[in-house]
Order: sequence, then C-alpha cells, then structure tokens
Amino acid sequence: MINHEQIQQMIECYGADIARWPCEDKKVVASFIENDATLSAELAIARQLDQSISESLAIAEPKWSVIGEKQLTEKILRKLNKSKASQNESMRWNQLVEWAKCLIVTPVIPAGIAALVLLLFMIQADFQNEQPHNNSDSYYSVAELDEWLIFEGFASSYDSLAGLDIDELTDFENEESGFESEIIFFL
Amino acid sequence: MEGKSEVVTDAQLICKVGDDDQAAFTILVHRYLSCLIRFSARYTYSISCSEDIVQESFLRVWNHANSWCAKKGTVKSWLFKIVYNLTMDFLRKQQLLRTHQESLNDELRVTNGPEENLLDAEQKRQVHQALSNLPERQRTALTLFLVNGLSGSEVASVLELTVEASDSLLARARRNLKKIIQKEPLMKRTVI
Repeated sequence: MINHEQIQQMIECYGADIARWPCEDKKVVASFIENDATLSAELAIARQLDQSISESLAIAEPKWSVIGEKQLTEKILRKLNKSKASQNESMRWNQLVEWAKCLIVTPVIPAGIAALVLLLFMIQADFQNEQPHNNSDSYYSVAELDEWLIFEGFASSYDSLAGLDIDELTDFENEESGFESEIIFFL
Repeated sequence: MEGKSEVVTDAQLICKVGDDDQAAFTILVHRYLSCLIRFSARYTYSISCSEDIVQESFLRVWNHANSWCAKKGTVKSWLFKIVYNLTMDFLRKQQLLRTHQESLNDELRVTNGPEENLLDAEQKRQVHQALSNLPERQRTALTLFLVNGLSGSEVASVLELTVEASDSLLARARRNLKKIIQKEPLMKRTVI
C-alpha cells in the first residue's frame, strides 16, 4: 500500500500526471491524494510547474517540416540500400577470395604434404646410405680406410697395413679434424 | 500500412529489422524520426546537424538491430540513447559551446509572433532561462520525461543510470527549477 511519503516522492520526481507514475493502482493513489489536503496542494503546484516547463520547452521546439521528414526518410533508405549494396559487393569479393583460396590452397596442401613425405623419404634413404658398412665405430669400410692410410702415408703398402691397429685408427678418425672431409674428397 | 504500424510494437519491428526487413525499418523511421530530430536539435541548435546525427543513428540501428535486447531497455530508449550519445559526441567534436542564452534569444525571435501576449512571453522566457540554467543531465532527464514522453526507467536507460539515480535526477531538476522560478516575481504568480 502506497503511503503519504511515497506519493510526495512521486510528485517530486514525475510531476502531476499520475498516469505516468510507475505504480500499480493509480485509482487508489488518486483517491488517496483527493483525501489529503497537503498532497492535493502539492499536486496542484506540480501541475502548474509541469505546464510552465512544457510550454517553455515547446517554444524552444526546433521547427521540423513534414517535407524535411519525408526527404530525410528517403535519404536514410537510400543510404541503407547503398550500405547494403556495398555489403553485398564486399560479400561477393569475399566469396571470390574464398573460391580462389579453395582453388589454390586445396591442391597445394596435398602437394606440399606429398613433397614433404618425399623429402623425408629421401633424407631417410640418404641417412641409411651413410650408415657404417660393418659393426665397427667407423662410418667407413676397412678397404676405404686402407686406401686412405696408404694415400696419407700412414702405411707404405697394403701388406704393411696388417701391422696397424684398427681401433687406434678409428680413434684417430674421431680426433683428427677434417678427416671425414678428406675421406669424402678422396672418395 | 499506417494501421499496421500502430499494431506492431517497437520490439517486433526491431526483430524484423534484425532480419533485414526494410519495411519494418521504414515504419520505425517514420515513428521516431521527427521526435529524435527535435531532441537532438535542442543541443545542436541546428536542424541540418541533427538530421546527420539522426541519419547516422538509424544506420547504426539497421546495422546493429540484432544486438538490441529487451533486458537493456525499450527500443524507444535505445534510439534516444544512440541519438543522445551521438549528439554529445558531435558537440564535443565541434566544441559547440554556444550558450543557452544565445540560443534562447534566437528561438524566441523565431517563435514569438507579434500577437503573443507580452507578459506570457516574458513568463515563458523566464522558465526557459531557468531550464537553460539547469545542469545538462537534469535538463535532459526532464526533456526526455516531459517532452518525449519517456518513462522513468527509459530515462534511466538513456542516461545510463539506475532508475533510482534517474528519479533523483528528475526530482532535483524539478526542485531546482521551482527554486529558480520562485525567485522570479512574474513566475511566483504563476506557480504558487
């Protein structure tokens, strides 16, 4: 149930037009005010104030013709169509780009994957070729090392190679920088 | 068509606008164009500037109709909010710090005919002066409520306030206005 103070607050906020007050039972409120002299007086003052404000605001109301309204409505709708047309155009371009992407990217991706697989296969094959020929630590065969040892002067002939320790030579291979490249060059 | 526009609610229209219904948009434009122009022109003092602002506002409504939801407020308050914000942006950009006194003189010069009662004109001038002296937010709240017929909650939505804060703004505006008017000898006769 609405009380005296609440009605006073309503008058202060919303003025004299009870129809615009945010309350449920407006008829009850109206009869409450009728039976209360203070509230009735406050409502009368509020009514006069409302009228003064409305009149004052009305004289400052900017002039706006029906012709202007019609023209502006047409202008807005034209702009709307333009923005829609440009939206459609950009959508069409986007579709074209999408199609182009499909045309280019779709074959490129499997081709790229195939190329990658091929490359990996080749690397793998090459790696396998470079694996040691026997179970020793060296990547090179005994015959290759023999040839190199003779070439480098570690042994004078194939016969004298028997006296050399293969493990020592392998250690030498690991320690000596450039050994591999020389072997490769030699090969 | 007009009969239909009366039946269809703003919320229904905006939903259709969200689905690119141009006819619904046209109804919405017809419904609010005039009052939005007048509302904006109260700040810009230029119909042509307000036309641009309202045009831009409606284009935004068209492009963002889907973002409207009833929880945020009514369509009417949403439209006023967009126009109010764009108008404030415009004023900030243009740095239009034209005093209300200047505008008042111009408006009265235009609107007051020679047949108008001098005393009545003076009273209106004083009330208008009092309104002009109100802080901008209070004046906006009062204009939205009294002239544009927005409810208390709609005013709150436009000014991005709680309903309590908006009510307090309205009450302060009316209180200030009453004080200012009561100081004026002519208005004492009218108001009290």
